[in-house]
Amino acid sequence: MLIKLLFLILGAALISELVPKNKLPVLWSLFSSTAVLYFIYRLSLIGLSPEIYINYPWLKIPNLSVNLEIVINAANIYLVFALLLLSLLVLIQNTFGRETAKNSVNGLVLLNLLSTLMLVFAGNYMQMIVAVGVCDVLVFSSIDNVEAKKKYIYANFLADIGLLSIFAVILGQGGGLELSELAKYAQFGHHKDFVAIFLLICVFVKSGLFLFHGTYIGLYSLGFNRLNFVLYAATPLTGYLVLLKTESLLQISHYSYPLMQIFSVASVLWGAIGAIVIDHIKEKAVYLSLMFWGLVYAYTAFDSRLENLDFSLLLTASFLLSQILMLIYTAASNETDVSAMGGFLKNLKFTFVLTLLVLMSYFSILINLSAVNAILAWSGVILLLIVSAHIFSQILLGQSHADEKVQAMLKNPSLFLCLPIAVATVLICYYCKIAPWMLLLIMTGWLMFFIIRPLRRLDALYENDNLQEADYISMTYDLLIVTPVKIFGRLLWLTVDFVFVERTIINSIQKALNFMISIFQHLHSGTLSAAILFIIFGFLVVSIVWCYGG
Amino acid sequence: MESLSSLVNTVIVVPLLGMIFAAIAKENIKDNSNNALDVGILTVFANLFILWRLALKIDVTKDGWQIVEKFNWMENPKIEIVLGIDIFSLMLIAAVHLAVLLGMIGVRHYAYRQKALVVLSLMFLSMINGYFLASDFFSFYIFFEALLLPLFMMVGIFGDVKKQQILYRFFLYNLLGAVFLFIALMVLYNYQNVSIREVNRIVLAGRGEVLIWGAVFIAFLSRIPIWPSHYWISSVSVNISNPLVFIIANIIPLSGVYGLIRFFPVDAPEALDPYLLILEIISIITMLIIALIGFSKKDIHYKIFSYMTVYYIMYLLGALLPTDALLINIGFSFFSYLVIVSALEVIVAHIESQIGENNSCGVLYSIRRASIIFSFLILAAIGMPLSSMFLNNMVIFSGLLKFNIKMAVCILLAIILTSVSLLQQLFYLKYPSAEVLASPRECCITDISLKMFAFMLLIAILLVLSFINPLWFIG
Repeated sequence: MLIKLLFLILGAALISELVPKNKLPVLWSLFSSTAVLYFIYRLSLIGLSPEIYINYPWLKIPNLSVNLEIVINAANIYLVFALLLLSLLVLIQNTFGRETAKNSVNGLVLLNLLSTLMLVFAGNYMQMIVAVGVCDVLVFSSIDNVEAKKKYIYANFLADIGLLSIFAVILGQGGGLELSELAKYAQFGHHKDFVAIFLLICVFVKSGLFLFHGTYIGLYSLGFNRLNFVLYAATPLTGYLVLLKTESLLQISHYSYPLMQIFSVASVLWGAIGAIVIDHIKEKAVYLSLMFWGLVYAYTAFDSRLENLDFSLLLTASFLLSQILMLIYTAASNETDVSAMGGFLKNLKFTFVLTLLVLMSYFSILINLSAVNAILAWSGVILLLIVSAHIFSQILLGQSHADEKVQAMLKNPSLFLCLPIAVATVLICYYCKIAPWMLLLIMTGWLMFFIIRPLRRLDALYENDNLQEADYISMTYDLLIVTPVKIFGRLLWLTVDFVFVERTIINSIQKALNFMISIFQHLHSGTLSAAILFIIFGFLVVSIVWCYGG
Repeated sequence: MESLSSLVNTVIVVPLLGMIFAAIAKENIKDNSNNALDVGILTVFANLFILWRLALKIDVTKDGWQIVEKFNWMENPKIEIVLGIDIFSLMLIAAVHLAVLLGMIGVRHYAYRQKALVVLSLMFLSMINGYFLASDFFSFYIFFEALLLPLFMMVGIFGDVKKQQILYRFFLYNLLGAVFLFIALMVLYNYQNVSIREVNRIVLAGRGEVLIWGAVFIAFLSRIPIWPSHYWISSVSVNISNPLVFIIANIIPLSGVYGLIRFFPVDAPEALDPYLLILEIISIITMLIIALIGFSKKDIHYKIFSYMTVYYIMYLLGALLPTDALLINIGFSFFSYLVIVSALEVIVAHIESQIGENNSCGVLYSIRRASIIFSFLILAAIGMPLSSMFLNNMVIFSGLLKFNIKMAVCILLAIILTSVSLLQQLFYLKYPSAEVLASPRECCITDISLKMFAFMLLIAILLVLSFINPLWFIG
């Protein structure tokens, strides 16, 4: 059954990719959405504790025997549901949203869903790496902006090469392919610090944590739905899934957990600051996702790993919050600057209610997580409360800074766009145990922050062009790596190829040959001196043979 | 098996026959008919079919030559021509055929001396097939040298402005290799007449061991772009705009790597151990230098050459590891590698033919078919899971890491640099800069034809199939 369902998704994806870009886009989008919905329905029929294990021999070449594993059990079923739900939401938004290449994007979303599922199912690291690589290629194809594409592929290509190297080290030392065997690497492996730290850096790059977040900041030029898809259902998620699957490798180095703690906390804080001070609404969404991924990594870093259900709920809630920003952006006729909004509450009452619902579900999940790690959960609650209240109050309250056209067109987005978000929020609320009093307290605090806006002084930063347009990470990268490498390469060409090989070796041989040719020409000139030289040479040869030959 | 053995020599004979047919094919310049080229393409397809038949009979789990054929050439001195095939040779022959086929498709619209081009490329194909099938000293040496002849003539006919200088370098380096190998093989033959695969079992006395094996090494290395012999190959690569000649020139290093693999399948002779370390150091330095130069240069031909060099040297270092376990992975990887590079070169040649001396920035933006294929090929080339290079390179790399982690890290750096420079090129060709957008090109740029696009799609599918299973064609 599962195989058939996977093939159904593959079929729908291929159809979406093969039909022309603008041929019945809504119909084909609905077809894709129905395929995913059917998958969810069939999967829900087998309950929440299934035991499906399919092992298919994929590759059997010398040195390498890889099996394709498809495993669904109680440990990963929620993650599978979350992935399906996120993809379904992206597809529905695609169907009714303003996407220009609906069919193509739908195909990529479905193929990405398949590759991410293969990553979730992976029991060996070959399947894992292949799934990660395929996901990268798909996301690369779905990005329709040059600069964003460049940043994305450079970063993720390097991360992929890094991952390949790590597992090549393990494979070279006879570590086997099974992920369950990685724990034994501590006993037989070499270069343990190298493996653990390199692995961490690779997953940080993939998830776009602090210092590596430039890749995703550059995605602000994408359509909002595509952006949300990339931020929550694609590459950053694959980074985290790789971390989950290879966590046993981190334990082989003393540096890995402290490193992860530093990066995750820095990501949460940087994400929160960015979401507050940056004006562009899509960049705000990226910073919110940075905050989210930082928080998720922090749980692993502080030895309080999230359960699959908790992670799935948190992922969905965070995605929905980003979708709310997308609804506002759509309602405001694609206005990108939050500083050019304000006073939208009058026209967007339904969206506001939806926002409250999503935030309630998000806070509920975080409250539940206080049982796992209270400090992290409450830090998350406080930061989310401050950041989200600040952003939404800027958008919804106060005086409107929107231009007349935006103001005139401002209305709640269509029901087709809002309803799926509402349904998904209700689903989250159903699955997480809500603590009503605690939630009431937090929401009261949120409303206070929302109305009072204690951080309103920071609005002035929107006017600071240097801050808004700064791209310190790319600048540093260019200045410290790309330019020196180019200069060094040019110097090498001049010195090694041109001066040394061309001007020295080849020229010397050429001159030596010319010299010999001129001697022989001279000898064969038929003059008396040449004849005498020949005779002397002959005598010399005879003398040498006479002396040493016998 | 008896009937199949005749197929081995057929693999050499068919291109020779094709060459004759191509040479006598009627060439009508007025109606621009490509009779010779059609004969060439048909010949390659015919040989691919024969290879497939051979592949079906080969047991992939077995080591060593599987189908062997012997001919007595001379009684005194006793010279016997022995031909054989294994899965490694088969993968290389198939890859070279596909590469030449791609080159032929790429030169379809080149009117200048097309017949000569086809005749020489078929001659090259026949010679290189012979080289990959040879399992005795004499045929090995004959084919090793003979495969240079068509390339030499091609560079002479189709070379650009600096072709005299290039031919001079070409001759100089290859003469050196030829002389060294000839002397070494004569001495080895005098010691013991064995097959190529058993040659490393010959025990040479004293200093002779270093000299003879050293000569063999230098002969093969002269074909591989390792410093300073990289210079002649880079000169050829940069100064040839004809895609077929470029592809053939860049197959030459394969003959060097193959020679080393065949002579020393498990390990190089002990006497050479101290020199091997020096060779490895020079190889890695070359890799890094070429990768850095490729990164800094804007010329796409040099970038492709730098990419090829880095991978050739990586495969060479993999082959020099004291194990023969990686051999098959090197074969699988080589297959995709050659096909990818050849297809890339064909697209590049098409772009160059369209833009002439103009700025190529963003040229792919307006030619969608070429853009799709080019993007796919670049992603496959840099090691995304789109071809057999992905998993097999990982296995080769794991061997290198196991052997020497510092060396492997340097290789990794070189691979990253060349891959990033290919990506740079993709972005440069695919996305026009603001200046280009502001002043659109006056000339009209034509996309690759639908036929060529379909063929390139087939190549892409082939690469993906090789990723799923490198031996997909035998089930």
